[in-house]
Amino acid sequence: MISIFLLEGKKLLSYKFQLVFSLLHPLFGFLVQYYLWGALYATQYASGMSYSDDQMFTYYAVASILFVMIKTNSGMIANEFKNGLLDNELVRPINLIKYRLWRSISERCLYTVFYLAMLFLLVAALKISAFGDISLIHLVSFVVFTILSFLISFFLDFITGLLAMAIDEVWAVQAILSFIVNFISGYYIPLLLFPGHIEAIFQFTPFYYLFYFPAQIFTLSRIDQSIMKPLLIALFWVFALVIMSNGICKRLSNGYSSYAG
Amino acid sequence: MRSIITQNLSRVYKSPVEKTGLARSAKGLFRKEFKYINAVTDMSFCAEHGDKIGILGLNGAGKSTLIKMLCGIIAPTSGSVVVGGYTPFQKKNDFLRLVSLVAGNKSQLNPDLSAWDNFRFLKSIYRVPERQFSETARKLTLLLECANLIDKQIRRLSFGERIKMEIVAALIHRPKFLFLDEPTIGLDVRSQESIRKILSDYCAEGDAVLFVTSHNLSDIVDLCNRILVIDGGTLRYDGGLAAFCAHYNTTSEINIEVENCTPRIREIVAGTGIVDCDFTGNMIRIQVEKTFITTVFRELIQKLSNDINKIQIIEPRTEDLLKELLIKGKVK
Repeated sequence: MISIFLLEGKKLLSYKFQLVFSLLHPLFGFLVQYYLWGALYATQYASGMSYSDDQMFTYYAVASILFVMIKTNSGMIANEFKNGLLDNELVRPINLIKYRLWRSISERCLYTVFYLAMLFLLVAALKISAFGDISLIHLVSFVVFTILSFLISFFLDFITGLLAMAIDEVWAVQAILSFIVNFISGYYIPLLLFPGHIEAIFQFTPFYYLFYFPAQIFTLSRIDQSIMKPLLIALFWVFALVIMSNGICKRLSNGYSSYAG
Repeated sequence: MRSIITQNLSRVYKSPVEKTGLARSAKGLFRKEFKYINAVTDMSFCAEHGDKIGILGLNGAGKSTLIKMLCGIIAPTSGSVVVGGYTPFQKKNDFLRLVSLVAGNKSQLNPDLSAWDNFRFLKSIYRVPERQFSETARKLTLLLECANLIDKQIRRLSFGERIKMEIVAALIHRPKFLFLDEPTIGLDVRSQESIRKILSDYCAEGDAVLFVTSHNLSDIVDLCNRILVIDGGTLRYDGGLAAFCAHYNTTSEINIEVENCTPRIREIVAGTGIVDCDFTGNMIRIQVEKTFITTVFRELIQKLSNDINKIQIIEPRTEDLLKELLIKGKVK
């Protein structure tokens, strides 16, 4: 596993421009939100908001970090399935899921290091007072929930990619699902701004733990509330998705045709 | 000891029927039709340690499907296959460590990494001891004259160079079952010979079972002691290459060079019990049934002794014979 981790890192570093430019997407996303919400907070409409402007900027800064940390490409298995490129892995003593998981961990670690550097430079340049009062307990909770968020994201993406077993072309499905997931996980708009019952329902879905809950730990010191319930729900989803992925993976092997020679 | 046993091995592919024309395609949105393709049908054979088996057949005959079932990539629809005591499709790690696959048309290596990094990765997943790894990698890269390329990214190698690296990668863990699908595709003559020699030596040293499919019939002739001829997913012939040639090679060729190919000469040639003949300039090529070759040869010498400049009996190259039999579908 260490060799997979190291080689993936080495591979990414071979394409430094690609690495840096791919990070401009979440960075620009954060900038757009910063100016959009900045303009809104300058008006009287923001007076009843649940967040202060600093809290809102912190939320989007953390959401953009989470975007870089958890957005895996495990769904690429769809292409490999469709084009018969899984042969390499199926004929080697490699576990399909573990192999992708370690590659994604390596990839995300590297991307995160670069992104944090870029984001902190931007935050300093914009003089945003984000990440102000972070206690150790907040930090530890954030790390724990980020790991769970990464795993949920990884397995959701993987399962979506496995749709290729049923339909040949899954690109559009993946794109629209990604948009929906980003929306209902609070990446575009914090769920706190939705009607109260929406947040109450969403907390039982895995999406709630992708962006919204980890970002809330920073933004509203959510850790002061009971952490056990969200932790158990997030853990439940991780286990459920692992079991689903394994089950589908076994079926994948049966349905794999290895086309194109 | 039998290391591979297949019994009534079959694989059927379910494939959607793509209609031609816009209207028909639109109709397909509501009702999808499928067709079933029998890629491999009722195939039974055994292989023993040290067997070097060439799989022959035209495009779409089922060669690659057979290889993929033997190395566990795809599951058979029916029948059974046992390789080295394992059912390949169960994909036990102990089984996968015994197997290696080289598919000339699909890279097994990570294109973004150097060949050396790919080898190190394979060393790690196959748990190859450091010393064995270094020795094997060094020896093979030297033999294939690609030692100077190991630090280059795979995507930056030429096609032939990549194939060489694929061969090295396939042998790093010293597999007991080696499956090669078009291993010399795109290689120059010298590289083809080097690869054949390496594979031949490897099988001799390690008692490995080798399966090769190739449209370059020299690969089959030089490497294999046994062939499976497949046509339309069905096994048509399973046996030694020499026996195959003896069975199917029923004609020989006599080539005659004459001063001037007169009508008299043509008449004499046509009356000697030949199968077929071809007159090109002052050259005459005659196909004769093997059983009559001596008689016809003697008769031609007697009747044309004053006209012949040169006469010789030509036995077809095994490659040519195989090619002809495959193209004409004579193997039944």
